[in-house]
Amino acid sequence: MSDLDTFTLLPLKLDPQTKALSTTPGQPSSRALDAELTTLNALHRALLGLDGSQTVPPAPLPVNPKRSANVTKLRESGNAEFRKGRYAEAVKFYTLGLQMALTRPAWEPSQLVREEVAQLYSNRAQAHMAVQGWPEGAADAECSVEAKRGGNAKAWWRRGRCLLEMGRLEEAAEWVGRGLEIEGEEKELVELLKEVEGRMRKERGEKV
Amino acid sequence: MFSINWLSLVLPFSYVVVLGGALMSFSTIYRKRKAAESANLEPWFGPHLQRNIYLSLLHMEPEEGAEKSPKIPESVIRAALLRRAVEDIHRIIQIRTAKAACSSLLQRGSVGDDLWQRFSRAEKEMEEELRDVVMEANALAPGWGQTIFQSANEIAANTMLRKRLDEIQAQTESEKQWWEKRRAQIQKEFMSELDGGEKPVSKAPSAASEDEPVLVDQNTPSATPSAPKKKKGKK
Amino acid sequence: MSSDYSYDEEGTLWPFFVFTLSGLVTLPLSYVLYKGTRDPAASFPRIKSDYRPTDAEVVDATRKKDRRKDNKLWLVFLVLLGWSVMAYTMYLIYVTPTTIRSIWNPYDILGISESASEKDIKSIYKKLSRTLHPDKARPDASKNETIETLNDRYVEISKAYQALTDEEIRNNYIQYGHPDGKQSYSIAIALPKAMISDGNGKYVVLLYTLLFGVLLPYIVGTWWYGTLKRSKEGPLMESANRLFRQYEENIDVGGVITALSTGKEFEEALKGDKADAGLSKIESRILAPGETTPFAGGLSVKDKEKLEDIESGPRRKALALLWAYLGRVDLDDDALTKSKYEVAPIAHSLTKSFTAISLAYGNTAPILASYYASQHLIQAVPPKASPLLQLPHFTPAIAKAVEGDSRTVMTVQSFMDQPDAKRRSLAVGKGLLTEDQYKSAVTVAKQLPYFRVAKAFFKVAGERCIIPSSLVTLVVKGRFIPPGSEAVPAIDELELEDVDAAEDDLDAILGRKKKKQIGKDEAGKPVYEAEAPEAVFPPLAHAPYFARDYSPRWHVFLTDSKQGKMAVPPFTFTEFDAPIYGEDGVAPTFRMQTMKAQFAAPPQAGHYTFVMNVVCDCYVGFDTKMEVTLVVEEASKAAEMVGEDEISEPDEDSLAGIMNAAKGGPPPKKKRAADEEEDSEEEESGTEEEVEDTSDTNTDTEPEN
Repeated sequence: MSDLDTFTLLPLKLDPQTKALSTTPGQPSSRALDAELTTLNALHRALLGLDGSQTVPPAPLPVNPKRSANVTKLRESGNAEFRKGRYAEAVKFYTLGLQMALTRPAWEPSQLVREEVAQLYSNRAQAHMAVQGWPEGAADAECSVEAKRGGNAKAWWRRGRCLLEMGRLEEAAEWVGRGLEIEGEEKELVELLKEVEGRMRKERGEKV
Repeated sequence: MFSINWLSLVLPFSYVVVLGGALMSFSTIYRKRKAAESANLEPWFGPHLQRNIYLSLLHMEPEEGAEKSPKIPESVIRAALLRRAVEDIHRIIQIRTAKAACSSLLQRGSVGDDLWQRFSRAEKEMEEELRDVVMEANALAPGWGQTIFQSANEIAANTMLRKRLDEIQAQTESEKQWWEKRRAQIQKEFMSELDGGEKPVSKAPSAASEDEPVLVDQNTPSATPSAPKKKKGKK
Repeated sequence: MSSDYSYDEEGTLWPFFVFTLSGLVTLPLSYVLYKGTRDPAASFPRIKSDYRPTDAEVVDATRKKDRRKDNKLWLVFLVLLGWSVMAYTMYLIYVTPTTIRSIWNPYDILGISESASEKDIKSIYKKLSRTLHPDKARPDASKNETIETLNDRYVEISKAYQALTDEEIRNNYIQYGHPDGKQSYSIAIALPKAMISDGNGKYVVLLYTLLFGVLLPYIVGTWWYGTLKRSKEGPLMESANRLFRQYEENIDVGGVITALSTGKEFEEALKGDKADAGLSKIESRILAPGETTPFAGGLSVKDKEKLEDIESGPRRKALALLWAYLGRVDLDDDALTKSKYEVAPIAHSLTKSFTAISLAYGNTAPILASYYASQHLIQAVPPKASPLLQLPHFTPAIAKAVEGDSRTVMTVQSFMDQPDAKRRSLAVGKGLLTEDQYKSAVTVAKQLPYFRVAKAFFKVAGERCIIPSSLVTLVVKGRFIPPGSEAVPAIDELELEDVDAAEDDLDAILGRKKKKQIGKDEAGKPVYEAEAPEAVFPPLAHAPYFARDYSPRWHVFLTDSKQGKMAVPPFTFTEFDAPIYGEDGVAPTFRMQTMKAQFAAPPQAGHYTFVMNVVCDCYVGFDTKMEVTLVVEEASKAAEMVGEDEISEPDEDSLAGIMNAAKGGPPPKKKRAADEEEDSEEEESGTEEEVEDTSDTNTDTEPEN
């Protein structure tokens, strides 16, 4: 940080119509500055989208319930489709839900986003798995775990299963092992690990 | 009675003077050098880009030809301040995690003293920066100073999460391609093994094998009656 | 009674002084020189390999240069000078005649034995005074006698007589060694007179001032600033400071490599006209598409961006060279190739500092990344690349061909676990390895010291269970099983036990024990090792590209996987207690090795599950990760258990038991029971948790939530 009383004057320019900031053409700019201005403009647009009289983002809590309700609704529709066996539709609903959850204004609680996103990804992974979309399922399950590490045994299990189905046994064993480290002796995970290890043995035996 | 031979005392006195002078000049030079050294220490953090943008916006100069400086909408300034707060959050987190590690390493002699000096200075500057941001926020919107850092904290956390998720999702495409290739190969092997009349032993259960979905249903308790109960509980 | 100081006028004493002084300086210096010339690596076993990489000469030259760097010319000169001075003074001491003052002895003067009685003394004295009294004796010119000498002789004789008969004079003799009382004595100072004489005084003062006013402060100052300049781990303090700023919580191996390039050491190695020269050439080479990777240097897109963000200068060049080294990129330029092999050892020495920093933060991922960076630097294997590249003749293309279309890399172990025919078919062929190359690769692989953990458990020496805050020992038992070893003997269960000698082995208590107890046979009799164990060093790392000889280290540490934090800091092992290889240095012995590490147990009772990491810092993919559970019992409960135990096994402390032990027989099987108990507790803990967890998840089985 430079001295508190001074700053570096940056060559900024404001577009009168869009109110978007950019560097003055012809002036030297850097990758970092350009990226920062893009982020700033996005944040500015988001701030303009605040309801009514609000000019600054409200405190993270309490949360505006409208979006949460929408997300929940989308997820339930997805669940309903899934149960009917219409997996493609289920995936669509989950994807919409994810979009809804991820476009939530950035200043709202990230913990809430994590919870919502973890469930949606986990469910979408299952829908993918139902139509043997193993790579997509694996990625979604990994995202779910990324969003919610502990207490998310099912997502751990799903990625493990996807990897197993793709024959990536070492990865599966490693992943499930890590899952067990975090989730404790989860029964389903233990069983999956046994299955993976059995397959590894079989494969080795086959090669011998 | 006390006839002092001043001349014979010249030598001792000059010795004292020279000694004292030498010590004094040494200490002043040493201190000056130390001060210069610590002033020249590289700052802990690089330039604060967001702060520079914010202040540049406040001091926007009139463009050539234009009479007065362009009016920057309040909302842009607010956004810029919020971005500045987000960057401050990143820096605070860094300082907090580094503090214990830095002091323990210093004690063990694994890092140098000037690192600690730089660190303490950054810590002090950070405090002033926070106070400054709160003041600015209150000036822009009454009461905002209390919540700006809460919002900034969430923004920082959300951005990080989204970045990670995007990284993972970005790999899906290549994974998918790999799997397509691999599946085609397995299918080919599978078919040839079938043709050969051998007992099919597939390395990975291919999508072609019919019992796969059953396997999934078995292990994934998909549509069990406990579903609605759970949902209520979760919400 | 007078005392006078005599300077060493005759030159008899100062050689002693100079001899001692130069000896004080020369002997330590000679030792330092001797140690420097000896190659410390020569005493270590090596992995036998006939593989010579393309740039073997350059690597060897760099290795030699590093060894020579320590032998400074001035040291040799100083030592030679010191020895010649010592030889000269020794010669002087030898040739200078010494004037020894005889001790005044009345018996000698009278010519009688010390046991003579008073009567004898009197009669002898009378006889002597009759013949030797100056009045009676005549000076004998032939004997060079004069009246004075005769007088003196007679006085001496009378003194001697009085000393033996007169009470007062006798006292004088006993107290001062002379009948006249205190004699004058002289103190000789072993300095040449030239130093003290009037004219030379100013030079002496000048010398003194230079010595104590200039040289001493200078030496102390350089030493002090030297210690300030280097961090505890060895690298320059400035480098450590920079590394600290480079630390990131989720750093990967590539990130560590990038961080290491900040080291100040590189600036010194690449300073002057070397800086910047050839940078664009290196970059174009490492960023060219590789055989199997997007870039030949093996760097990821993220690493490439980081490289490009650095301003050009020594740091950027150092990083580019590091990538060239890791990717084994041919730079086609002698100077650049030389620097390529020079930067890797520097970077490796910096990893130590980075490890210390990540340990201070305590996050698992950076600690591991730092150890992995060390492995990759020693083996010249890029991050995420196949560990098979560690074997001779393997190139990325061959490794890829062996691995097939697998998404993961294949470790040397899993490659070697395949039957010979299978791996031969994978690796040998057109565009792949030749038969000879394959053989050489397999020979090396079969010697690599892969430590396979057999068992890891916790115990407190001499106690049955672990109570809060006690000093716990983590015992890791394992064997060195090189990849592809055939006919590995089954593990002898008895070797897995760690037997406490202290409590039940009287020999050990009494310090009589020479042999090490390694276990118990079925009958419970202690099994002793044939000879006292000596430290066994593993062979130097097989690292044909790394321009240093490096003795591998194994680091054992515990982490808490839920928090991703380190729980118990690493213990480092460089030597082992049982031979690793047989007489020929090639065939592994598969002997059980024991690694022990002590740390304080947590202050609260409970079940602690840790992940134990065993990391070797110079082979890629030789790491072990396993879960271990530490069961800490309440102190009260532990006391209870001991109490019960004492009742149920009364004979343990009985006379018979001790007698038995004294005879060399086995003490009652106490330790064994304790171990078993601990194990069963571990299992219990597992099941307990499982029950809890499943009850938790039963409510959670529905995925649609």
